[in-house]
Amino acid sequence: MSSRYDDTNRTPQEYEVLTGGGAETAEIAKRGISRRQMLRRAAGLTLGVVGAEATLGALMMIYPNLKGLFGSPVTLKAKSTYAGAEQKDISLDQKGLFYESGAKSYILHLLPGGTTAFLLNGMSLDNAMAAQDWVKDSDGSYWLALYQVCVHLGCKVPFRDDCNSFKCPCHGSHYNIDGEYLDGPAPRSADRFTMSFSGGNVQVDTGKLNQHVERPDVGTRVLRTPYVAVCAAS
Amino acid sequence: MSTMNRGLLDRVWNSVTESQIWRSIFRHGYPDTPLNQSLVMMGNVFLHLHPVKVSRKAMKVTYTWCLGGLSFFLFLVLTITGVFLMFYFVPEQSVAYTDIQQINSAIIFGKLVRNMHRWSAHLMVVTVTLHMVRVFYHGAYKPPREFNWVIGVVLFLTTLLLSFTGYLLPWDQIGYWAITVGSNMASYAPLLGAQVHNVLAGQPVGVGQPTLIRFYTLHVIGLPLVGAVLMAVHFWRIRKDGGEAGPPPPSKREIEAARAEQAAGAQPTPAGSLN
Amino acid sequence: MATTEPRPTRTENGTAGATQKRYRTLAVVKQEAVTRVEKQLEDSVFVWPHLLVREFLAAMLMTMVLTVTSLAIDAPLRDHSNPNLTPNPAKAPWYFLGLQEILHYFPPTVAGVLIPGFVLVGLALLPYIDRNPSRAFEDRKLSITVFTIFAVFFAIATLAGSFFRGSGWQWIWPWQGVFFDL
Repeated sequence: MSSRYDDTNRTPQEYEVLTGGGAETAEIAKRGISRRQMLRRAAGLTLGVVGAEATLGALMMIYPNLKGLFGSPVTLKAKSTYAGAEQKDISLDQKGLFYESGAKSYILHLLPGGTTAFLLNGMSLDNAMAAQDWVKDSDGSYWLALYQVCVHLGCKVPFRDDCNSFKCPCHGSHYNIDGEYLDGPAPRSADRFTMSFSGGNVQVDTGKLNQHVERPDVGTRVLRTPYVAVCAAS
Repeated sequence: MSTMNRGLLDRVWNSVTESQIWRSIFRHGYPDTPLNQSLVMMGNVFLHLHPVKVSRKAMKVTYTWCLGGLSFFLFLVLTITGVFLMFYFVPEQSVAYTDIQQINSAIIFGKLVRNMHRWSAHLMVVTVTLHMVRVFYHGAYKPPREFNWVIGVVLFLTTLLLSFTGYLLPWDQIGYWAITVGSNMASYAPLLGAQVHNVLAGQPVGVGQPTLIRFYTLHVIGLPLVGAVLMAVHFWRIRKDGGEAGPPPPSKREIEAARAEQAAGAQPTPAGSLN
Repeated sequence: MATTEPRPTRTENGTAGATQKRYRTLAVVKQEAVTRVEKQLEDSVFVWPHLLVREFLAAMLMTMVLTVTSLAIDAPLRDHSNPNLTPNPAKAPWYFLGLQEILHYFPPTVAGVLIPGFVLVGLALLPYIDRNPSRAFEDRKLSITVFTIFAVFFAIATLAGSFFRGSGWQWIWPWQGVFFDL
C-alpha cells in the first residue's frame, strides 16, 4: 500500500495534493462531477451494499431453524406406543392418554364402544369431529392431540386419573378427556393441534393450533361427561 | 453554488446534507478541506482515536506493518462472530458438542462464522506476537512509552487466555485434553497450586461442567472486558506519549559523523586542505 | 537587552510607524516571482484520508483473507470429549507447545509455572531493565542479541513441539507423521 508518493523528498503539501485531499483538490472537485466525486459515490454505494448484505446475513443466521422444534411438525413415537383405551379406563401414560413434552400436548387414543359414549351420531358426529380435529384411524379408533395449555390464562393443565378428566390447578377450569369444556372460567374448550400419521409414527403439527372449539351445549357435546361426577380441587 | 446544471442526484444529496438531521449528526462538510479534515477527526468518536495529523514516517506500512491495528481489527471480528455463536451455543457438557455440530451443519452461515472465529483467534495470537516483536526491535518501548509496553504485555497475556479459554468450549477431544493438561499444570504452581487449579477448573480433579461454565464466562465476558479496557488505555497512551514512535533516530555514531561532517563543511580543516 | 542591541526594538518601531506610516501600492508582484523563504516544514500529513485509507485497506485485505480461509478450511472438531480416553499425544494449543516442549525436559513447576511466569514478568519489566536511551539498532546490540536469542529459542521450541513430536512425545520427523491440531 505504500505509494510512489511516499518519497520523503516531497514536502507534505505536495504529498497532500498528489495523494488526495487538500484544498486544491476540493477546488477541482467543485467544478462539476469529477473523478473524485464519482469515486466517492461508488465507494458510498459499495459500502451501502456490503452493509445491507451483512445485515441480511446476520438476520439469516440468527433466525431460528424451527424444523423439528415446537412450532413446526413434530414427529413422535410409533403408533403402537400409544395404547388405546375406552373412556372410563383412561390412565395417563399407561393407556388411552399420553403426554408428549416435545409437542407440548396430550395424545388421546380412544377406543369406541364399551364405556366410550358419543352423544352425537351420524353426520352431526362426523361434522363435530372434523371441526374439532379428531382423527379417525383405519381400525375405527379415534385420535386427538390436545395442547397442554389452559385456554383461560395459560397454565399447564394436568390430567387427573382420579377425575377421569383435565382439571387446571390455577383457576379450576375443567375439561373432559377430549378437551371439551365442563366447568370453570375457561372461555372455550381446550385447543388442539392438527394430528396425522407419518410412516407409522404419530405426527403433531405444532404450528397449526385450533383455537375455535366453543363451549359445548346439550346439542353439540360430543362425548359424555366424565364417569367421576365430582372432581375435588386438588 | 448554482444548481442549474446539477443533476437530480446532486440536488437530493444536497437537500439531505443540508437537512437538520444530517447536520445534527455531522457537524462539518465532506472532509476535503484542511478544516473539515481536522473537524472529522475531532468530532467523530471512533476516529478521534487518531490525531488530526500524523507523521509520514511513522505511518509507513513498512514501518508498522499495521500489526497493532490488525490485532484490534481481529478483536472486533472475534467479538462480532463470537456474539453470533453465542446465539446457538449452550455451555452445558451434554449439549455443547452437539451445539457446535448444529452450528456446523444446520445453522445458516454457522460454519463460516465458526471458522472465521477460530482462524481469527489463531491469527490474533500471531499478529499480537509480531506486533510485540516489531515494537521491541524498533525500541519503541523506551521512555516515554515504558508503561504502554507493560500494558501491551498484559494484553498479550489476555489474548492467549482468551484463545485458551475458547479452546475448551467445543467440548471435543482436542480442547478437553488440552485444558486438562493446562489446568493440571497450574496445580504445580508453588504454594497455592491446588487453589489455583480449583479456581480455574472449578473442581478438585479433572475437567467437567464447572470448568466449562467458568471458561465460558471468562471467554465471553470476563477477558473481553479486561481486554477492551486495557486496549482503551493502550490506544489512549499512544497519543499521550507523543503518538507513534516512528522509525528509530540515527545512532550515536551516525550523529557524531554528521556533526563532524557539518563541522568539516563549515570550515575546512587544515588537514583536509593539505590532502 | 535594549542596551546590548543597538537597533530599536520591534515595538518601538511598530508604535511609531502605526501613527505616521501611510501605505501606497507601488507594484503588484506575481505569485511566481516571489522567492519564498525556505522553512523546515513539519513532516506530518492529515490522518483523513492518508492513514485512514491505509487502515481501511488493511482491514479489507484481512477480511478477504479470513473469509477465503474460512470458506476453504474448516475449523477442526474432533470426537466428543471422553474422560476415559486420552488421545496420544495430547497437545496444548500451538502457542503453548513451546512450553510443552520445555516441559519434556524440566519438572512441571519449572517449565509450567516458573518459566512462563519469569518470561512474562521479564517482558513487562523490559523497559525498566533496559535503561539504554538510544533507539538506534547500532546502540542496542546487547538487548537485541538477548531478545533475538530468546525469540529464536522459543520459536524453535514451539516448532519442535508442534511438528516434531508424536505419540508418547517421541521425536518424529514431519514426513513420518504430523500430530498437530489448530
